[in-house]
Amino acid sequence: MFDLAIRNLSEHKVRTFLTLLGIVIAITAIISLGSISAGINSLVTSTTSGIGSDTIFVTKRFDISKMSMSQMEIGNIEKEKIEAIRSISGVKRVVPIISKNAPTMFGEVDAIDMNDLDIFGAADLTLKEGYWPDNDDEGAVLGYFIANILGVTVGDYIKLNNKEVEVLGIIEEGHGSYDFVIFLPYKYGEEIYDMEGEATQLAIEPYEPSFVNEIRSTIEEEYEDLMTMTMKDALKTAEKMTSTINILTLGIGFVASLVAGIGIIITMYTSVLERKREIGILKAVGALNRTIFLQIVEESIVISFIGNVIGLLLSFYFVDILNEFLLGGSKIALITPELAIGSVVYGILLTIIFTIYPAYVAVKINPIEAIREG
Amino acid sequence: MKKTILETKDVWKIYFMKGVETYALRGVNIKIEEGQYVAIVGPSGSGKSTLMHILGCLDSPTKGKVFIDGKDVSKLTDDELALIRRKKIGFVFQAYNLINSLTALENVALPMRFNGYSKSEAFKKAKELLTKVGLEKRIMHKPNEISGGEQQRVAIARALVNDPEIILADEPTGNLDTKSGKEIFELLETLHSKTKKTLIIVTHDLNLASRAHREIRIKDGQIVGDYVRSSHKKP
Repeated sequence: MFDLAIRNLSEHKVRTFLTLLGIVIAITAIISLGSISAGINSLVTSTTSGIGSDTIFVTKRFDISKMSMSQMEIGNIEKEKIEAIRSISGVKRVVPIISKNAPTMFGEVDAIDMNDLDIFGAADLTLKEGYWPDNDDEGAVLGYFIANILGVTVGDYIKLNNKEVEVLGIIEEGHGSYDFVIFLPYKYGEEIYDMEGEATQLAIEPYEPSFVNEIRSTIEEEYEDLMTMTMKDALKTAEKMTSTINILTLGIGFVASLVAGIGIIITMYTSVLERKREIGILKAVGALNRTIFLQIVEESIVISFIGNVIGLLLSFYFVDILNEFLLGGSKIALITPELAIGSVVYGILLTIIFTIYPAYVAVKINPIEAIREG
Repeated sequence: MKKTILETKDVWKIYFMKGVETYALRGVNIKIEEGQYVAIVGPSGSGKSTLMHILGCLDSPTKGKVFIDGKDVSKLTDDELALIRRKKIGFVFQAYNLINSLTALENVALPMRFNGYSKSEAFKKAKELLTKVGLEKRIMHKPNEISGGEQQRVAIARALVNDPEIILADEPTGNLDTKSGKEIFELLETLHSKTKKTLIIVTHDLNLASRAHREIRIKDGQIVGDYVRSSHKKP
């Protein structure tokens, strides 16, 4: 009705601005966190697709609850055990791998025999520059984004375990989690991490897929400190982790939106009380209850819509920064259309829900009292 | 005989506040004919404003019946009453009760917009009425930019915009100086004589009340006098 909604909002600029700010922060938080969540989900799916489902991974037993996200390192498997496992019947190949944290927030270092990269699904990775080292070479091949984050190129040196390591090659962009891996020849890894003949994990290829279960139970019975896993199990663990991240991001987003919602209630409620007289007049000259109700809802939708759009634009910017500075120019954090539209729809629905009470208060205003007070 | 436009039958209004009953109206019976010019007079606290609110469908009686144009309105819902106010009644209040964020034009057009007319139709009619009340130069002004008398003229234009059958004015000159008050009264009277709408004015000013064709006196919630001036007696 004559843009009363917009006029009322612009008459209380500070209050409107603060409410707007709450909504903007909430929506930006939801979309930005959601984008990381969405990115990690797609990363997990893309990573696990390259590895054979019959490959058995062996590690020391560990308790995931005692580890932090950044320190996911586990104990070393001793040389004798590795040799013993090689001789288990049905085992075709045992590939010892030394996996360590990369010197970046995301990513890892994998020291592996250069001829066994296939077991990792990494044999076909093409390089952007440099070359794949031989087993006797000393140097590293870096994933695209890890090179970006560290700001190094072929010929530069990176620090691993306090030792200078030359960059020999950089993998082309777009290989999922391999964008975040540093590969070393196994022998060089032994030297860097002082782990002669040892490994943090073994990748085992059986002669036949049907041998998988037998090999696993033999290892686990023989060595109580070792545990085995197949890609299927790993996928389950990864899914558990991503769903934890999803719940966490959703939770933070939900709390942020509640705070913004309470801002809306307060704004609209005070606005209704301040305009008691005006609402009373509208009623006296013939406005129906639903007209009053819609007028209040309309007003909060105007704030909410503006807040949502600003929040959405801001999160595109924010996600760009996140990708650029934290994730080395990768596209991990991802605003999918579903995320963008979903957040805005959610934001507006929430606004309507939070406006029901103030709008109800407006409807209940008695025109006689409101006018008498004026 | 003219048709009865407003009628109350044994109307009581009782307020219950903190367990105490306050009687604002005690069995009021009034019959007002179409086109009459009526003054309701009484001291403050006499119940004249309550009666006005009930006649104007802003309030419902605790007991008794109210008929507008033959229709019983005493038991209607909020929205049904709002529809009657919108179509049949034009209000003029003591405190003008204009919306401060709207211009004079928009204030006048508002009830017509509620009635489903387009913005341009409502603005056209509002402009006409503002011209009629002598405010053609003030249509784009907001209430706080014009004088009290002018605000009351805007309110009168607003009361007329939906072409109601009844104009209810509650102490329309109460906030005005004598000169502006007299002008507002004269404006209301001119409109009444031109349009033949029913005009009911609530006032405590006996001087002004004496100009009406009929004077209803109210005291302690009861009608204590009802005179039709001889010049306006039914033929």
